[in-house]
Amino acid sequence: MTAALERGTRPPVTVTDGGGRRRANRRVWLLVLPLVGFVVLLFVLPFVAVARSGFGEMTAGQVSGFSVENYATFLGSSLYLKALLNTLIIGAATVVLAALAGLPYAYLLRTKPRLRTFAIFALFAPLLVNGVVRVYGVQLLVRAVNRGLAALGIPELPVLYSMYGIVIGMVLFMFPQMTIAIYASLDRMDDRLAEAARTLGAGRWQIIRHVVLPHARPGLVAGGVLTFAAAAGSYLGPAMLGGGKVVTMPTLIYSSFSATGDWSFGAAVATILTVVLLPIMAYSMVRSMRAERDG
Amino acid sequence: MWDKALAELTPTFNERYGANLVNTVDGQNGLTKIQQAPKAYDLAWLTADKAAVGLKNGTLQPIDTARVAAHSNIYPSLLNGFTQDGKLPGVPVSWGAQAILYRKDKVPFEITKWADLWRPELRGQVAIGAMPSVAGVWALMAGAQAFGSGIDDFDAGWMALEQLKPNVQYQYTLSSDPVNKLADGSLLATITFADLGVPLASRNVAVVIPDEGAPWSSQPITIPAESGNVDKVYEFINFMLEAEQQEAWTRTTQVAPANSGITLSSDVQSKLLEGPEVAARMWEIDWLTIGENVTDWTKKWQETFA
Repeated sequence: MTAALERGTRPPVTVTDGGGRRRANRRVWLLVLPLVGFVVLLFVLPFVAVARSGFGEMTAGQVSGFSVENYATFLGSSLYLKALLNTLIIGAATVVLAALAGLPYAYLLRTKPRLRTFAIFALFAPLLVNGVVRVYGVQLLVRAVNRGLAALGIPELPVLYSMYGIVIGMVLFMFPQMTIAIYASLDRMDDRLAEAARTLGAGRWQIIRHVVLPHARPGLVAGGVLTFAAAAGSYLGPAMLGGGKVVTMPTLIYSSFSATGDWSFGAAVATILTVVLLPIMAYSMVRSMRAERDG
Repeated sequence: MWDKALAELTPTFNERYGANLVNTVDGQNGLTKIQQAPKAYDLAWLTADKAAVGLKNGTLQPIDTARVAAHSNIYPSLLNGFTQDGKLPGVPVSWGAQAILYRKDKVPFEITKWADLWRPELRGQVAIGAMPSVAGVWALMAGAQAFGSGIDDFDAGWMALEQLKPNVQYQYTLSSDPVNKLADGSLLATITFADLGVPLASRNVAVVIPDEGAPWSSQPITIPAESGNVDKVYEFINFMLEAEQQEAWTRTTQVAPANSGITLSSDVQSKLLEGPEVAARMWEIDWLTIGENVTDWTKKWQETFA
């Protein structure tokens, strides 16, 4: 092999042997099998059960029969379509704002090692507080700001009990996970690249655009997917910060399952939400992986 | 709070009667749970609307009132609208009056009746419960009472809710939430429990139960149709209606005893707004109508407010 390397040719890799390749493939599958089993058991089967319930009718606490009525009801109602649209807007707006806030924070973590311990603690400290309390904290903060504005004779911010309020709350909730995902990507960046760019005359924005952002992209995508899914699936934020004025898919699911007892309609709404979210997330992940593979 | 109170009282019951009853305290979902596992529970604490539906569809068995020792002492207003064709779906052991709570130092008029919540001075300053919670139904009934022919005039109630929209700052999901906001001054009026055990007078919060009457909440004890421990459940119901347990329950949950034949100690009664006079002013609520319509009403509610 050494001689082959010295000649600059590829070493004679053993997997060119058909039997060896099959053995290697089998080993890979053995390694992947537990993961597949985990996904099937904890995601695919429950999802199939929920989707099946969506095609049934709720009679005496049991889902039975086969009907597309729940889906027809959903698609035929402007209220429910508005809930879907609101959910997608909340997810997308949260991703964009969390990314805008998370990128500089992650860059700070990467470039200021002395601050890192404190900055990571500050990032995760809010997660130690119960979600309801954090939502209440957001409300208190907004009210304090509004009182201050009113004292100055400035109109209040129309953020409480509105779409704006929900998005602000969701950004505060999702900021840590988005930031840490971006940081994980930036941490692999070679500092000499930025120095080289600076040496070659690049300005700050050019360095951010051509050096930092490409390195942050995998983290932005991974964090974006997680943030989008979590924000679009959140019940607490819309329920408490929307004040009942913004209907979303999770609030519909909650009221169907918990209060009105119409589990089959709730299951149909949950299935629609999953079916809409999955391709968006899959497309983002595939694009990110391709971009990373292609350098 | 409910779970805490139950955890305090059930060991005494189990010790005295040698029983270990399987409870479900799940007002909203409990009925579905029983339908899915009819023999799994000996008794269930359901919301009154779910209990009414459960009796009608056969999931629950009617209460044999002859076996409830204090039945004749339970406030009539808690039983009248709840009873269907002479059959009682469950036994209320406690109840809580709903009322108008408002900041008397900030509202520029005295609130005395439901219609006052519609006044333009309260624009953006009122919180109501969100349907499908029964707290949302109270606003519907208040509108029906104020602008229609009575609490069951739901068409008038829906029209009134349209008119109330400009005044609604938000809809709450936790009944204590608007109380906190009244206390800090970011809200001026709400419809919620009259008495949540929070000292409000010092924060200039007035509690008003209008002369027109008011709604009330209860989580009655119900018996699944296939309960395997019916005798013990009746013993438990009677146990819960005894003076000692009524007092202990009230002390922990801050909801009023359903048994009008007992006298609470002065320290417990002094913290409680409800009593015989208030009970007499409670509306006779048709819980079955609420239970059967809440799904449609929820959609209509969301269309109204979203």
